[in-house]
Amino acid sequence: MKKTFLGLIVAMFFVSGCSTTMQKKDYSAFYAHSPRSIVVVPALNNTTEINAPSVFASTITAPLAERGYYVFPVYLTDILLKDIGLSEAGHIHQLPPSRFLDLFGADAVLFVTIVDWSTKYILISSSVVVHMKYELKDTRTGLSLWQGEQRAVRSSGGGAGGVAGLIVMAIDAAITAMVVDYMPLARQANQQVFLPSKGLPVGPYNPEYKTDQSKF
Amino acid sequence: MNKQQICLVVISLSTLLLCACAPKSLFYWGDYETSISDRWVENDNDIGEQHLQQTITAAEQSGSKVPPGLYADYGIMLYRRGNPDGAIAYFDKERKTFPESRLLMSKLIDKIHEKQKKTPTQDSQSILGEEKKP
Repeated sequence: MKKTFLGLIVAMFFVSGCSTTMQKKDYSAFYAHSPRSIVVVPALNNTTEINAPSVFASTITAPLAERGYYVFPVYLTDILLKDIGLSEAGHIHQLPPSRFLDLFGADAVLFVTIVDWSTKYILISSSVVVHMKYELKDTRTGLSLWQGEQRAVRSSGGGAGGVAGLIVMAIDAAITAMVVDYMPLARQANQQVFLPSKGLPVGPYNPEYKTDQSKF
Repeated sequence: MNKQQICLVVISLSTLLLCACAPKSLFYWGDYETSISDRWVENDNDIGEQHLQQTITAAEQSGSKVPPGLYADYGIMLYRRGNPDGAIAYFDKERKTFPESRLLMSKLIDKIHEKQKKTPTQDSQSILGEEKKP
């Protein structure tokens, strides 16, 4: 009895392991709907850092547009959503994707959740982390076209030797604690997540359009 | 090393060089990122508008492509500053440059025309205001 139970658990592990890897490689929904335009709605913030969504919003347009998509201007998007009473990201993320076809004429909508946005101190070294989850949905069918997850980390300290070095680093960490610049990390994460082999196949404004399937 | 091996090394080296050259920007971005963070993170609309305007001018002068959304973004800044005609001109530029934006840009232009026909409203900040649902 115990053995069958154990076997079942092991089998379940295998099954779930398989399904996630297969999901990552499945681009059939994406290719079936091949969006040209993407609207990025305000990010859902699961952290305590209040500036995270706006820093994120500043760095999302270029990476996505450089993949070849028409990206609706994030600032205008935010204004228009607020104009019709949609100012809560939590509320916006609950809307049916078709709403963004009606409102913007967008082929797809990108929902982003900020999972981590923090600076951690371990002894005299610090590490800055940003971590996001991305989901692209088709506005006509509501289908999920692509999902991604990206973490970017910058570590500092722990390199220089000697007591003087330690003191300098401690002061350095204390100063940077007040003004941590998350922008480069947000930019880095947003660039990496759309690249092959797990990212977004390129869109119509990229010369590689429709010829990059082999990279995914 | 025989001839074949040398050939292979040469080919792979040249591919590497080609790859390194390949990732060229599709658009001219200038200070666009800064412009958004000026407005959104620093809450400074004037500097944000300046950075946006400079980026558009530099892109047009450099002969590079203006990125998607910049004309529309500038249009909404003009609108909120009380310049609806300027806004219409830039929304029109956006839809001509990027057909994907046509539906939204046309809707915004229509809304501004509608508002202009009415007597000047107190609420000049909001464009889609009327669509508000309870």
